[in-house]
Amino acid sequence: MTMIYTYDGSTSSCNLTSAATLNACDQFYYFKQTLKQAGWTVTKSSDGSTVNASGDRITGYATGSAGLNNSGAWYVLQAPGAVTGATRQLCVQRTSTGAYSFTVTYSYSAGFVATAGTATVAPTATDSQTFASCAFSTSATYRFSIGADNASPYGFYMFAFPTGGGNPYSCLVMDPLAAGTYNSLDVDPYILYAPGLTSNSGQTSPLLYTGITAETAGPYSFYKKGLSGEGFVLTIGQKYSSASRVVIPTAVGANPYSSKDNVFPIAYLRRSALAAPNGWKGIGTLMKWIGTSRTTGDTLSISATGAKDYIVVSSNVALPWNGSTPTV
Amino acid sequence: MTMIYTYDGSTSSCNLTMVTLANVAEIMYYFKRTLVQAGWTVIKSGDGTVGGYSSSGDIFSSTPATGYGSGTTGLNNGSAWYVLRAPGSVAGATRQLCVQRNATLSYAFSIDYSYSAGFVTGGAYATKPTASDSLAILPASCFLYSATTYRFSIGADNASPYGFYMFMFPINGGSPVCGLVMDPLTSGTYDSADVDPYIFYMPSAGTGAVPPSPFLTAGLTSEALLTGPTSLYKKGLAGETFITTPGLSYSSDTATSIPSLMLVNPYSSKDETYPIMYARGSALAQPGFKGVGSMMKWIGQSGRSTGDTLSVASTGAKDYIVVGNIALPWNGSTPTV
Repeated sequence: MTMIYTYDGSTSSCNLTSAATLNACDQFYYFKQTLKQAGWTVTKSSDGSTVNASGDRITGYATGSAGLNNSGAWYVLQAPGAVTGATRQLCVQRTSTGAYSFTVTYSYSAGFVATAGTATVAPTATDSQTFASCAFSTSATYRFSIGADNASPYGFYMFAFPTGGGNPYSCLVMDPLAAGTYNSLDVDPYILYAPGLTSNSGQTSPLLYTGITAETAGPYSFYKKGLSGEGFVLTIGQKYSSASRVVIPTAVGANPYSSKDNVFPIAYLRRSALAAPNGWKGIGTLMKWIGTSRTTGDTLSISATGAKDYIVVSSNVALPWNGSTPTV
Repeated sequence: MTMIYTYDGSTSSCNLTMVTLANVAEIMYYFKRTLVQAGWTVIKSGDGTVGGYSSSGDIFSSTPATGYGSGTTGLNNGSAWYVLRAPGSVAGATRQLCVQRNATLSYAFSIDYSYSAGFVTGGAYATKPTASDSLAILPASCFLYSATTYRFSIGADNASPYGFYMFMFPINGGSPVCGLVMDPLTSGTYDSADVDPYIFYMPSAGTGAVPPSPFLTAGLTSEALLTGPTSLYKKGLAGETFITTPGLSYSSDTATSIPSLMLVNPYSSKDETYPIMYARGSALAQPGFKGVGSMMKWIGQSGRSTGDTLSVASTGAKDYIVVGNIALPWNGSTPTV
């Protein structure tokens, strides 16, 4: 794994952090740029006026020609390679609702080729699933950061939080499951997390444990992809408790031996009382529970003292980080 | 890992299961025999009768009925005891256990644990030896439940890190009534500075009573001493303590999922077991994460009961046995319940 961090196209370090956001268009412009830097390809796009049927027309996050901040503008990203036999694609579209509102759809393998798309209508895929359709920020009072793994299985994250700190406003995460934690027949071992499906509304408790563990607005995944009973369903992250209290996340403290920060894996499943398909999914790799209550923008040093290899993105969750001190 | 199951000294298969209980000395006699078969050594013992002392070996009869009976070379005598030494060193130390029957109560046993010093001081026919680092993992005056209507089973790993278990439950099934487990933590899940990566689970309630919720969720996740699991935190470091170390259940924002509220694996339709994490919450003294166990596992499915087998590795494997809300390694047989 080599993580590529918020990339603006002009910086060789690939480690820009927390750029002040103008609106969600700059998040999704840098999202595209960062994933491209991590090996993804823009296979087609539109700036809302003109379609590029074979590449990337979007050169900025502003309005006007080649900008993303135009009603209906869209692009399709293709993963760098196949994972468990399929090359995944994402279609990102700025909605007509406003510059803060985006829809992200996911194609497991068919690709966005069922319909070609027009200037303001995104292409479609026979196997597409809506990953998110919501507001990703509402004003210039947010910061955001992006991370994308340039190695298989190509996980990524993006989150936005209020300038000055506080719980996140939005997130977009494709979290690969850890090898050995999911069934060998599971050909789509990912958790997709962007808890919002109403285009003009914000997300529900993004990156908080109340959101990740929610049975009504939490992470999603494909169960039984390609098998009988296939479903794209809520796939609930689990908290861990003693008989008396929730211990993980946030209430277990530092490692008692090293006194260093701890992060803990998140298990995903659907319990038996929920509608089928249900059962165990696996354990994520990017999003981790934190052990001690922290605030967004804090860094954790897990691998070594001073490593700052995780960033706290809510009072409950940490994501991989590049060792820098983020601007909050 | 090669598990050795309830061994009575006369069977080459080492896979006897669910011996009908005669008395608690029988359990602790077979416990000794099974651990010896798994590579442990009885390094000294006393049968509680005058002159019944060995400073270098096992004084108890190899004939089971005599070995767990009363009288010479029997374990069912007041204050009879034995010391077991692990087959080898784990994390730099060779551990020992000292098992002793109560002076007057046949169903009362205590177990002391020595991390490395060993039970080298004292010892006589009715006086157990002591170790400078001894810990009462099943304290004096704590008791296994006594009756003749129970079955028990024992499993011991003959490979490092030498975990073991014992459990007992009513004949014809039902919730377990007692247990002894030394559960090694899974490599990579505990801190490299932790030189005693084990969970001890030996719940106790007192004279003749069933311990609180043995092998049930309420017991495994309990923060109360003698109810929940225990472990040595920070062995050899400042702040070393032997302390309750609760197992953690899994839940959503709405309800518990694991244990016992799942279905079979949605892809394979096979049984599943799930790892148990052990940690002390930050609201408790000496908080922190201990590690993930390797022997006791949460079960997934509801509607399972003690004595059911699970086939996790392959269809029909029967490689786990259900004990309350957890599963333990099993030998593939259909147990007598």
